[in-house]
Amino acid sequence: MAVIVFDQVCFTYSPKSPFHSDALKGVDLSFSSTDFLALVGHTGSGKSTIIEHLNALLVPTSGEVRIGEYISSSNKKRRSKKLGYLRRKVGLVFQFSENQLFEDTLIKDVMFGPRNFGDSPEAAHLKAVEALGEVGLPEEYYERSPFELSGGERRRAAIAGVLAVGPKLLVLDEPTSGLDPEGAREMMDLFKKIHERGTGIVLVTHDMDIVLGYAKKVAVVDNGKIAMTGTPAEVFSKDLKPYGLEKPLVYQTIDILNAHGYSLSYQYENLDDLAKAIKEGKKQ
Amino acid sequence: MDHRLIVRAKDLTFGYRKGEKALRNVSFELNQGRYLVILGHNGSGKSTLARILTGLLPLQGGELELFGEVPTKENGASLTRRIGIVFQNPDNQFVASSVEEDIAFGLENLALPREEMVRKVREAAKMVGMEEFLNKAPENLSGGQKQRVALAGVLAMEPDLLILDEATSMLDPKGKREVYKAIDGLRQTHPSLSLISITHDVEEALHADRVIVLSDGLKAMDGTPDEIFSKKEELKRLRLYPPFVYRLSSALKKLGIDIVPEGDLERSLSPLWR
Repeated sequence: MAVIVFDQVCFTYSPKSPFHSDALKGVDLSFSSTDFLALVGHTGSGKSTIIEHLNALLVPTSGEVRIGEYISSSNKKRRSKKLGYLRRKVGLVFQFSENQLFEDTLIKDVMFGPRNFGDSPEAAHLKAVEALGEVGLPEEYYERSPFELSGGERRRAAIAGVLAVGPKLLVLDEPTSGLDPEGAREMMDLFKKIHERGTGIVLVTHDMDIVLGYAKKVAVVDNGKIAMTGTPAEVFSKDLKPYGLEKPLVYQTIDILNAHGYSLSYQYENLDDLAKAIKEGKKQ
Repeated sequence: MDHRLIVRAKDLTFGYRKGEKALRNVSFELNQGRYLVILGHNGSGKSTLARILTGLLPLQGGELELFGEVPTKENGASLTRRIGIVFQNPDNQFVASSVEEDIAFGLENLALPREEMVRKVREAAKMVGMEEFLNKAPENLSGGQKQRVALAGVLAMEPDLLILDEATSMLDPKGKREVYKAIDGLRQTHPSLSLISITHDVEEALHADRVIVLSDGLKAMDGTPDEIFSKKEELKRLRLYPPFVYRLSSALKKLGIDIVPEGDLERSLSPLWR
C-alpha cells in the first residue's frame, strides 16, 4: 500500500436502463496511503461514488483504480483477484454507521470483522479490545448490548469494528454528521490520532471548518470529476461558489474584507494573527 | 406590536425513569413575534423540553400554558393546530413525490378549493425561497432545500408558533445558513409569528432574540445572544464555544478594535471599513 491512483475512472449506475446515471466522468486523482485527504463537493457531485471505489464495492465502468498493488479495473483481465486483501487494508465507515451494529454485545460486534477474516476467537478478542480502547469505550461496556449505548458511543463502536481489522487506509463518510460540536471535535481528534500513528485517512465531509482544521490535502469533486486539488489554504483561497461550496468562516471573513479594500492573504487560521493583520490593513 | 403571551412554562420537570430527571424546574415565557433559541448539548434535556411543548410527552411536573390556555384533552387538538413543527431528519419528513405535493400535504386535509390551495402552496414555497423547485422530486434536493420544503409545508398551515426541533443539525454549514436566512426573511414578512428553536448550534443562536442554555436538565443561562456569548468562561464550563464572530470580536477587542457581532457576517464586520 503506497499510492492510490484513480486513472480516468468513469462509473455509471444502472447502465442501459431508464435509471442510467453517469456518476463519475473521468476521475483522475492520486494520493499516498499516509495522506489525510478530504473530498468535498455538493450533494450529488460524486464523492460517495469515489470512496466506494476505494475498497472495490464499486468497480469502474471504464478506467481503473490502483490501490498499492491491487487493481480495480473495468478490464476483467487486469482486475486483481485478492479482494479479501483489499477489504482488510481499506476500512470503510459509512454515514450513520451506528445503525449498522447487529451483534448482541459490543465486544462481539467489534470481533466480527477479525473473525470474518479468519482470526481465532482469542486473536479477534485481543484486536477488539485494542480497537475499543482506541475509540475510548471502557471495559464495562463490552458485554452490553449496542442498543444500550448512546448514539455517539454506538458510532464509536462501529468505528472500532472497522479499526479491529487493522486497515492501512480509513475511509470516512460524513463521520461527524448529527453530532454536537463537542462530539464532532472529539471524533475528529480520534481520527487525527489514528492518522498520526500511520493510517491514511480519506474523509468525505460538508463541513469546511473540519477540512481546514484536520485535512492535509483537499480534492474538490464537481459533476463527477476532480475540479481541483491542493492544501486547504490553497483551495479555500479560490472561488468555490461554482462548486456549490461555502468556505470556512475565517476565509469568508478574509473574502469580505478584501472586497472592501483590504488585501489580506489567506494564510491566517489563528484568529489572533488575523486580528493583527486586520489592524495593519485598517491603518493603510 | 402585540406582546401577547404565546408560551408560559413554569418549573417544567420530567423524568423518563424513577429517580432520574431529564428536565428540572425549567421556566420561561415567550411573547408573540419573538424568537427563542434553546441551546444545549446531547443529553442536556432540550429534546425532552421540545417534546413537552409539542405534546409528544405528557406534563409530569410544573405548569404549561399555550396561547393563554392550559392544554387539556378538550382543547388539545385546537391548540396543536396552531403549532407547526419541523424535525431533524430531512429525509423522514418528505411524504410526496414532488415539492409541490409535499407542501400541499397538510392543506389537502382542509378541503380547500383547488385554486386557493395552489396559491397557498406557492406562497409558502416563496417564503422559503423554493418557488422554482415546485416540480422537483425530493431526491434531487440538497439537505438544506429539503428542510426548507418541510418548513414551507408547515408554514402553509399558517401556524402561530413554529417549533424547530434540531431542524438544522443534520445539514451542512451551507444548508444551515440557507435555513437561517429563510427564517430571518420569514420574521421580516411575518412579524407576528413566534419561534422556538431547539439546537446545539451556537451560530443559529446569533439570529434569536433570546437564548436559554440547558445543561443537565437545568436552565444554566438565559439572556440575549450578546449577554450569553460575552460570558466566555461560563460558556466554557458548559462545554460551549462562542460563535465565530464573537471569537473574532474578542481577538480584535484585544487590539482596541470594535465590531458588532450578529447573525450576518458582513454586517458584523462593517465597522472595519466604515
